[in-house]
Amino acid sequence: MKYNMPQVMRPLLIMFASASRMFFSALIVSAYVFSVGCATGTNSKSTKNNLVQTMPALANDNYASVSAYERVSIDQCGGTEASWKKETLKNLIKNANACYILQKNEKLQSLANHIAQKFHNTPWGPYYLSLVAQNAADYPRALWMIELAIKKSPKTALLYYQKARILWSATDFSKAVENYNLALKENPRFVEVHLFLAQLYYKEQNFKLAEKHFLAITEINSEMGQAFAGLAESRLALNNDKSATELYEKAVNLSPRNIVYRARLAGLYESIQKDNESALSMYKKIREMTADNSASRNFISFDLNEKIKKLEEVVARQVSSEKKVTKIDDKKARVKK
Amino acid sequence: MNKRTQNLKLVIAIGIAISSSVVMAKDKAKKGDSGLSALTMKKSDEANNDVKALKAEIFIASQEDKAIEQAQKLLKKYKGTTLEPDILMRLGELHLRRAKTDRFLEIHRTSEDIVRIAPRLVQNAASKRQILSAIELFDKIEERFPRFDKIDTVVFNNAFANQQIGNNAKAEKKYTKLIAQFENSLLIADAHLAIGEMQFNRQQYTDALKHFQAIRKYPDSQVYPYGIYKAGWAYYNLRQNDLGLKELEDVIRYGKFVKEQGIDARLDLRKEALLDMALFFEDSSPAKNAYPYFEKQAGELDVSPVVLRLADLYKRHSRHQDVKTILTEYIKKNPISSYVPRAYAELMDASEKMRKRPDVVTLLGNFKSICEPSSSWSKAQTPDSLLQADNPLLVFNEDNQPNLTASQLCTSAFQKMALGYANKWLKMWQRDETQAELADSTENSFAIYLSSDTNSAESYKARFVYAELLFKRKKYRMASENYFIAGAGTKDKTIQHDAKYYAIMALEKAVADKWSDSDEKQLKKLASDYLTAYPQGRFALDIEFKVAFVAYEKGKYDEAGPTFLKLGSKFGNSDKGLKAQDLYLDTLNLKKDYVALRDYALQLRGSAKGDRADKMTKIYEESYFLIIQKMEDQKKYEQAINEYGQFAKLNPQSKLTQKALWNITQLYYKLSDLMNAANSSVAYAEKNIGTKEGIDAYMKAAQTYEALGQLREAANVLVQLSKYDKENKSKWSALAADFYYLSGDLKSAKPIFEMLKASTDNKNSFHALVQLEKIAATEKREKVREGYLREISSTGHQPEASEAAVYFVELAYNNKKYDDAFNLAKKLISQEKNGASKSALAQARYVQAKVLQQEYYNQSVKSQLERVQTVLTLKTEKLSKAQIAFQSAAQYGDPLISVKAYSELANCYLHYNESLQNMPMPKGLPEAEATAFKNQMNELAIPMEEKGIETKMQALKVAQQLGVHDPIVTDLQNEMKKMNQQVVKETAIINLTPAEAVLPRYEGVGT
Repeated sequence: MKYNMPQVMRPLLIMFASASRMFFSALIVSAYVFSVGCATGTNSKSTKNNLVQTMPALANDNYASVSAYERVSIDQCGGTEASWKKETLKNLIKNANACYILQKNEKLQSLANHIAQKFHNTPWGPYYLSLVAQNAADYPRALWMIELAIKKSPKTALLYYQKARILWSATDFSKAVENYNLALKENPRFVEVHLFLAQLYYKEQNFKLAEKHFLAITEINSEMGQAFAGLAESRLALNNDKSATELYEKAVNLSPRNIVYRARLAGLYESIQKDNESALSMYKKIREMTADNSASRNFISFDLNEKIKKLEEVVARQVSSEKKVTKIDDKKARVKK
Repeated sequence: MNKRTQNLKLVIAIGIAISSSVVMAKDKAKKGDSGLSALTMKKSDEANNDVKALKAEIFIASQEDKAIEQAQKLLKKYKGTTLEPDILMRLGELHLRRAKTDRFLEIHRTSEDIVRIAPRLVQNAASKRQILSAIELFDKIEERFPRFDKIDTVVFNNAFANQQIGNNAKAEKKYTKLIAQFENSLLIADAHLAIGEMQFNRQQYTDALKHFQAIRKYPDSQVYPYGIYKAGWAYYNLRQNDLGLKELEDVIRYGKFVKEQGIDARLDLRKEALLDMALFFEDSSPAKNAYPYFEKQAGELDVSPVVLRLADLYKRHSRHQDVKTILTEYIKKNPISSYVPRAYAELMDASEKMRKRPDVVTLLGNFKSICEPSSSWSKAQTPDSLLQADNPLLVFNEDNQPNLTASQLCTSAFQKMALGYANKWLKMWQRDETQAELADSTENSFAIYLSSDTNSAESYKARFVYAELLFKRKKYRMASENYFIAGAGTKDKTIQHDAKYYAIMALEKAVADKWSDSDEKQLKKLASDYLTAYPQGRFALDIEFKVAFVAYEKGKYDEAGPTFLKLGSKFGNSDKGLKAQDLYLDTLNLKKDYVALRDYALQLRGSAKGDRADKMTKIYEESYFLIIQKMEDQKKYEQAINEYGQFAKLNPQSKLTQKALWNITQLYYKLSDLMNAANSSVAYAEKNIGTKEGIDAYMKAAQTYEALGQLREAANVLVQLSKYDKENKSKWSALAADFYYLSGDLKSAKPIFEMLKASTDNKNSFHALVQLEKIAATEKREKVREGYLREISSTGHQPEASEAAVYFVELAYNNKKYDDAFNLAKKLISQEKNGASKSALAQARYVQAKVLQQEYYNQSVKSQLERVQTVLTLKTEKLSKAQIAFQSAAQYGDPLISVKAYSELANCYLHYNESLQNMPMPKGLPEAEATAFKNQMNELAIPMEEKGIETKMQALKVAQQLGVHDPIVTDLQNEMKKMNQQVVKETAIINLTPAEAVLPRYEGVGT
């Protein structure tokens, strides 16, 4: 008796079919991965791939200048590759910021590489790598990295700001200013950009532009004495003296310990407002403030005591003449009666 | 015929001859043990029976010898007396009796047993001598005692003795003498009979008929009915059947008379006549009349024997339809006759002879019915009837089994017939399988038989054959059932084995690969039956395999799998074992138990060779892959990655290893773990060196590293890529070197750039040259750098060539090689139409202007009075040249150069002003004219000063307009301040501080 057994080809057929599906899915994976982005190298050279994914811009209020950060401890710039693997992006950014503030470039380099690898969809890995390169005055690398970061998040103003900083360091001033303006385009309320440009234009005697940027700062941050002072100076340069006094008063109010502003305000009272009493009062306040710290007097380019003495005399004379005027007026009044 | 008559005569003769001896023997028996008990015959013991018969004859012979001896003594004693003829006659009769004993011994002379027991007696036996002695005595009486009162008897005995030894002429003469001379003798009828018999034997039927008819004159004679009977036969032989029948009808009538009158029953020859009438009837009358005729003739007697006799005669003459006619009627009229089984047998035989097999089958069914214990026929057969020797049923008891019922005997006969027909037809059908009716009849015959006999050894054999027939006729299901029954019941080991197996095979055929649940259940039952009986049976593997295969086909993989596994393991060296292995693999595959599939395939691969080993490897690898694929489906990507890695490690030579490595890469991409994706792409590429896939993998790795900002890694991969992607070697090499450069790895970058620089790929060669120059600058290797710059310059590749040339222009100028600087600048400016950089052109022109400015500055205004005009003309001319040069430098559009140019131009004007104002008094100028000269110079100088200040202002304005954020702007402001120009405001409060780094707040970067 013979059974007519079917040839056992089905396992192979099934497995061939399964294998086909498997490899097809692999192709799908491939298509999924290689669908976005492209980085450029020196002379715009790159592999011309589209591997870099873009991500939304970092919100404008989610970055701050180094000086705005509180003091950090060395512990915050710690960890190893192994420990970083377990960390969230937030913690790694915290660490990286600390490393940058503490200027621990080697550690920052490692950490930045780790962020670049693990959180490759964010711009922060190459961003920190650009900071490290900039610190090492390796501007070509710093630029390459920040450009990569921009590719990953082309709407984040901070990145253009960093690029501008690098270009400025590399003495490519024009392109630096271009990128500062790109940063403003993405974030018109970028105070640090406004401040730098305001200072730059003021220094270059381009007071209109300086005024524009100082004004922008005061509108963004009404607590920044430096901006009000800058705006005041810009207007002074533009012969808008009256508003300058008010702006300096605001600057002094915002920075009451700043004796330079006080001195400048006192000068404005004296020269523009012709308000010697206010000027005298302000000079006396400065003298009082600098009584314990003679070094701070160095910020004042004139002899404070002499100034006070002269003003006291002027004020005294003014008071005396005013008294005479008063007596005459009184007599006139009595006569009328 | 003759024999029958001879026997009858012999019976009569013996009865006469030995009556005294028998009487004597009976007497002795009455006295107790006669010793004859030892001589009693026993059935079925032929050898002993012969010996016993011999002993009886020896005993009789001894008695006869004694009687002869006694008679001879009496003869001597009564010689000459009236008793002598009587004693002589008696002595003659004793010789005749003795002749009978000797004839027995003569017949058995060849028997060793008999010779051994009585060799002498046997040796000396001579029946003829005894008869001759008797004849001699009878002749003697006739001669010496013609008036002896019993002379007719002596003549008759003498005739009879002569007839015995074949002396028929003398015998006939003696019988004729008796008829003629002793008309009152009681033996006349016997003499007629004897003469008639001899004539009959000589076929002288007419003569014989006369003698037989002569007997009718002696109705009181004992041979009267026999004479009529013989007359019938004579008619028959004279072909006068009707007359013969009438004679025999007379015999029947006489028999009835005898019976009615209570006369000697031996004279009732009805049974013999009836049987012979069948013969006469067969030739003379139609069969349809037979049964009524014989029923009438038989009267009170059983008509069955004659009917069957007639049927037998019909059969002999192939009158089968007549057989059917008479027996059908007979059975109908005699349903409970003990002859009915025989009648059925004959009837079936007749139908068979006529090839009416369905009729036979029908008859078999009827036959079976009457044999059943509950049938009216069976009930009618009394146990006593079976004790009668002439019971026709006894012929069916071939083995003489005791205590059998009629039903049993009938059934035995039926079964024998049914099986006989079945086997016969089967053989016939096997010779010609086209005969469907034959096959049907065979089948039915077997079926009827088997419904009767369910558990005899014979029935199991028959059932096996029946199943075989069914199988051959494609009635597989019935075949299976019958095989099963046969296998279960038979003691025959061979049949048992085959039947159990064929039951499965037939079921399989019946199912035709469409196994219902009930069929599958049946299969399991049959398989269990076989395997229990024959665990190591020849077909055990096939059966286990089949059961598992059916389960497999029905998707019962859990059920089929273990069996396939077992068979595959146990019979791995056989084809079926291999198939079991394959099917087990398939079940695992269908169950999607890829882990088990992989492990099993791996196990099998260990012992497989050649193509099978390859096949197992393929299954192992593919199942392994499917396991991992499942992990992927379940989104266990990390686990899948590990497994792909393990696969690649375990199977480095597998074609799938390449895919495993590739899939690892893809999964890393899926996990968004790009670093590992890139690393695995490299691993994949290293396994696929030189292939398109390998190159693609390298490329993707490079792209990924680049996207991650891992430039050194990207560079390393690009170096590899440049080795294998020959077409793009320069492109990848250049990019690799760029990335090394950007990574600060100048040591790695340089040799690649140098290699590229030497290549014929102009584009990348030039790029390498530019990059090498940058590296040299970074490394502050000025001579080397200058070498590269010269090379760049010499290429004419703009704008780099002009920018490189500027370096040398400025270098010459800085080294105060003004002529060289001027000429180099001139050369560079000449490249304007060739696309030289505007910036380079501006710089070159600016350097030229600076050289001219230097000449202008160096032009002294100190002179003799008569040369004042000339000196001032020279100074003014040089100013003019410098002015033109600076102005043209400013016109190139380079903001910084423009600012610088205007600034320096302003300096030129201021210098002119200063030169004139500070001009020494010319020698020879009268003192009185000194003041006038001074005033005149001042008049010349003042406009130049104003122009200088104005130009400085323009420089500052240009700087602002063009957005030049260079320190030169501050310098200009300072200069303006020195010149007390109000255009410059106090800037003490506002200082340009470097832009601080801005860092992302960790709270806002996401997770």
